[in-house]
Amino acid sequence: MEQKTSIKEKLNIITLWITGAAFASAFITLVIFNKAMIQKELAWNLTILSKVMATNVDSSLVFLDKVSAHEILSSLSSNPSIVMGCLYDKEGNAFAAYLSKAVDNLSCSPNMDKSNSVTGTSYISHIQPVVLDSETVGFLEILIELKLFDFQVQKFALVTFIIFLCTLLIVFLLSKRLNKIIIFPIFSLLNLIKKVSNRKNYSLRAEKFDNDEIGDLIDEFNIMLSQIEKHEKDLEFQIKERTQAEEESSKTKEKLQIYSAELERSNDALRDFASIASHDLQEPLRKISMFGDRLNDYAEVLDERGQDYLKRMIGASERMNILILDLLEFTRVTSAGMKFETVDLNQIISEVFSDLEILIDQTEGKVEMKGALPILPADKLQMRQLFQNLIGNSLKFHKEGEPPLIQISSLLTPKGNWEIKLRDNGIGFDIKYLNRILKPFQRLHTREKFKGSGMGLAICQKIILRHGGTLTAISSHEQGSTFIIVLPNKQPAKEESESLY
Amino acid sequence: MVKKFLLTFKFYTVLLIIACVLFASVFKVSASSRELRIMAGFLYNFSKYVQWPAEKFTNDKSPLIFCIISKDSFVSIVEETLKGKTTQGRRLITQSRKRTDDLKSCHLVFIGFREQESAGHVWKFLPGSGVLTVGRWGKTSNAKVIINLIKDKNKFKFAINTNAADQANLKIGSKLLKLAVQ
Repeated sequence: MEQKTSIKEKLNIITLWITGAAFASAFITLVIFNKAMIQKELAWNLTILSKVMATNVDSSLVFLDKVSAHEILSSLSSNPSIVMGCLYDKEGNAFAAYLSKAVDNLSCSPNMDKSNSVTGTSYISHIQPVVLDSETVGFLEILIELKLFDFQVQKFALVTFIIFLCTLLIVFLLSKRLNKIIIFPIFSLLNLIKKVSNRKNYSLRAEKFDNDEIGDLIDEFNIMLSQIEKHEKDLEFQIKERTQAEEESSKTKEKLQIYSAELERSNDALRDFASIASHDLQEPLRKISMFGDRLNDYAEVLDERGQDYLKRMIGASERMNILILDLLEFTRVTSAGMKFETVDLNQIISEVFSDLEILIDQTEGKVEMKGALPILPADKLQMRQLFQNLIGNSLKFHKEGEPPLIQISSLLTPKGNWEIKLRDNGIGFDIKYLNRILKPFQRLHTREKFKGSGMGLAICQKIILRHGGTLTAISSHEQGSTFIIVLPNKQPAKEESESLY
Repeated sequence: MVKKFLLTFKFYTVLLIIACVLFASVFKVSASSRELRIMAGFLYNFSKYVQWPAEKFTNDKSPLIFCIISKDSFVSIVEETLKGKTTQGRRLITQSRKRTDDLKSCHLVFIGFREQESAGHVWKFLPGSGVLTVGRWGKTSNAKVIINLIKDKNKFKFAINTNAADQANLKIGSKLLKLAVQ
């Protein structure tokens, strides 16, 4: 497991390292510089001393006065670091010498090849020519022991080292305190983050201490927290809403399913009822009609009033039969519909024309085709019935003394549906009765005036609805009518939508 | 026979004595020659520490004249020592003089050991003349020179008569005075 180092420790370590490195380099530089300075000063002092000495010993040297030379050289003893002073004549022979008592392995060696200053491991030597009236009369060599000098350097280094150590300690203590300025806000932020993540409480906010980068960080974090809080609330609300909506929708769906089932049941029942009723009604009706016909054979027996009653009874039974047949037809639109196939409406129209040929001739009617009709998916038989009913109506409800004129046109709407218009010059109707005439058994005229069961348009409407289309009309009294059929160009994948009508 | 032997013996003895004397004399000569060199060196070095009055020189380049009243050999030794050397930027000239000569043109006059009797004469003429007199008297007290060379235990020393130097208008350097025997 990796050891976790906190920012605090890291900062302390960084501070210590930086300070330590700076101090180390400063220490090394100072010590080296100090050593160089001391050495330079030493050499300088040595040169001055040698020069002064040399000017003093020249007379002793030229007058071969060793005693006075010794006297002068012995003054070197006042400086404890000078271990040797040698005076050589111009041939390089030792003339006089001073030797410190502390050192016994040294002696004046006539070696004039030495350069002016020789720095050995533990001695510095300086050789000064003794010049008298611009003539070199001899040489003076002074040897300094570096022990004292080394001691001085060491002392300096030690003092500097101690000062630096103390400073480092102070820096460490100070940095520990100062680091808090940076670390405390970070720690408080960290604690807050932990709290937030543990409790999932996004309403908490971090405290801002300063306007620095950490302050910005805290600000941004707080903004983030508010955003999260808002999102959280929104999300909760949305979830609640959705749950409610789902509950509602599932309830609605259930209701809808129940309704649908009920509707289907009642529809089925109605269909069954209509069919059964029609069949069952036909049976007594046939008997009434049959016995009415047989009774007709005894017409002479009846008086005029009786004959009228009989006639009306037979007529009523005939009407009843038509009504029942039409009702059967109406119910069959959905129950006995064929599968949709591609149907050429032009062909359908021409078939309808041939069926209605007699009626057209009788009424001297005329049918105008304005352009070709579409080819679309539909129930062929029902299409035939639809146009037969509509054209039949137009022929039936023509104005008296005016032959019917029927114009048929079609166009493709932008929505992709076919709009087929059947316009006639008939008696027309008040448009407010449109809904009424589209319902079963509804009629606007007496059956004396116009024959019919009142089922024609209802069947048309039902056929068109089964095809996913609409049937509307534009009309006004005595102004002719225009029936507008809208049929889809394409039927949905499910070939036959289960119509509820 | 015996006589002949004795004669022969005497002859060899004489020869031996002569050889010894010769050897000794040769040795003595070489030793005194060393001394003379040292003395010549001293004369040269004295000139370094003495300041002559300006009127003793006609110009900055005029030479410093060493007048030697001594044996010929010392003159040549001094000449040899001073050859090519300068003092205070001046050439050095060695001249051999007799005690009767006029010595006022000299800057330094050396009176040899054997010329001591003539020193009185020299002494008489030189005060105030800016001439440094150097000699070899056994005793300093009655020395008739400014700087008296003394040989002590095979070492040369010197004594300075500061009064005489003052009279001669000469300034003797302190370093020289310091080394001088009291």
